[in-house]
Amino acid sequence: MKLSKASVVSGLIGLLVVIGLPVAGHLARRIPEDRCALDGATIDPVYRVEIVDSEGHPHAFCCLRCAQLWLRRQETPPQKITVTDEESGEPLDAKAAWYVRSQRVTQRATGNRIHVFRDEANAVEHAVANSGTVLLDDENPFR
Amino acid sequence: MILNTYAVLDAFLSLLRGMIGLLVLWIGVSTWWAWLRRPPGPEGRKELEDRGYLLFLLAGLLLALNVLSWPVFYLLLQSYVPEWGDSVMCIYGVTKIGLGSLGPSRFLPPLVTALQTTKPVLIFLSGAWFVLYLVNRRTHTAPLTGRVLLLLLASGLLAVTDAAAESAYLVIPKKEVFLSSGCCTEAFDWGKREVQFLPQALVGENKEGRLYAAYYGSHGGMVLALAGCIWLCRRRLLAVGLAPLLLGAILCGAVNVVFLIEVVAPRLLHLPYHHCPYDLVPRGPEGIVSAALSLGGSFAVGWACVAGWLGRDPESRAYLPATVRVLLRVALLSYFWAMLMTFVELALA
Repeated sequence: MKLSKASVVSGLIGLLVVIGLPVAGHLARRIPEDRCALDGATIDPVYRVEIVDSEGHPHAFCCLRCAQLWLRRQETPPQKITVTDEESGEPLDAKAAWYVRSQRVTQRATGNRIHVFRDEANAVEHAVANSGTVLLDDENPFR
Repeated sequence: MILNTYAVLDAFLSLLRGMIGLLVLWIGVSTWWAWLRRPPGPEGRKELEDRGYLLFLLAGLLLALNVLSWPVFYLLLQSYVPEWGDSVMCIYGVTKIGLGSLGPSRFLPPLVTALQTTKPVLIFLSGAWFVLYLVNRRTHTAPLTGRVLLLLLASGLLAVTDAAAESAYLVIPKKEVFLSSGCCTEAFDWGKREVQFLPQALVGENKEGRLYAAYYGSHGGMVLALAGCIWLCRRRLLAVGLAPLLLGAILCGAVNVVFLIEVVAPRLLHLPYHHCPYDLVPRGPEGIVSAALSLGGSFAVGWACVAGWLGRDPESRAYLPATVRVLLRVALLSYFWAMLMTFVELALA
């Protein structure tokens, strides 16, 4: 079979595009730091959740919902889970936090309605103000 | 109505497509009528050709605009994403705007779903018309004119409907409406992935490995099958042989979509549990290009079948194998390039 010059040239150009485009895309792409490890959303520091997996690697999430979805896919339990107190914006251990499910959404893209507080008084106050409920121990999102 | 550069471009394209589509329908119906009442022999063909010049020029322009309108539509949806702040993360969220609404916005989700379906169908139908038109143009008495006009009228009608739906989508108020449900995280990442898109029994434990095998196996198999068919079609057309190729092309299309969602999106986005293909538009467009190449291969096989099955006539017999061969060659190159591009993308990711 004899190939024409035009076929060879167009084939080579096609090949160049097919290989060059992914390479250019890879070089141009910047992986943004501090994005949600589940869906890549920007993280509001007030709702940040961090999970240290069984191998010691930290993973940040934009809300409790994403952290829960991510945890369900892990075969081994995490080493540590840190949530953020909505009042002060300070990190705290997930086991020590108070959780409230209310009408207010923290991250609209996931529809997360669970809020985190360090103090029980703040949790109750938020629940009353936003038609919510303070979650019991067996309803703890990271139980 | 959200007014931005893409909205203006899309509105212009829709208006143009609508007007040209109506013209194609009008001239197409009158040409069909003239074709039915034409005098026999070359005189009849001459009269038909005189009517057909403008029609086929307009139809060619409509085909180009239909192809252009597909990426522009997704760019428009992507340009709408920032309008809803943190409620919407990607195109998926935009497609769900209006759900649960009682106002005119309730028509937005069905409109956008319809548009996402009609656009590939429209391109396939327009391409099928064009292939058959090229075959018919080479004959002496244009025996395929009836079929050509039928395909042209069908694609013209669909183009007008698509343009009208797109214009309606642009005009319906949407910025004041917010998502009643979550964005793509809820839709694509919730629950067990295998259960959602593929039966567990089919993919088993090693899901990713099986999907790689399915993708490269189906595409590689199609490349080999197409090479064989091109070789066999050197002298005469094997119309029966096109049927298994069409089945293979449909299979490749299905595998391509599943592979894009399950493997390509998480790898290119660097988010192992996020399977949203819409996120690839801004953050990994090369993934969309390789999927489009594979789809182009499937379309080319479909067009080869249209040429082989609907273009059969004693007058076209001499050069039909060559036309089918060209289309199969395009399909072969598309599948091969799609495979190669996907391989490079995933190797770099």
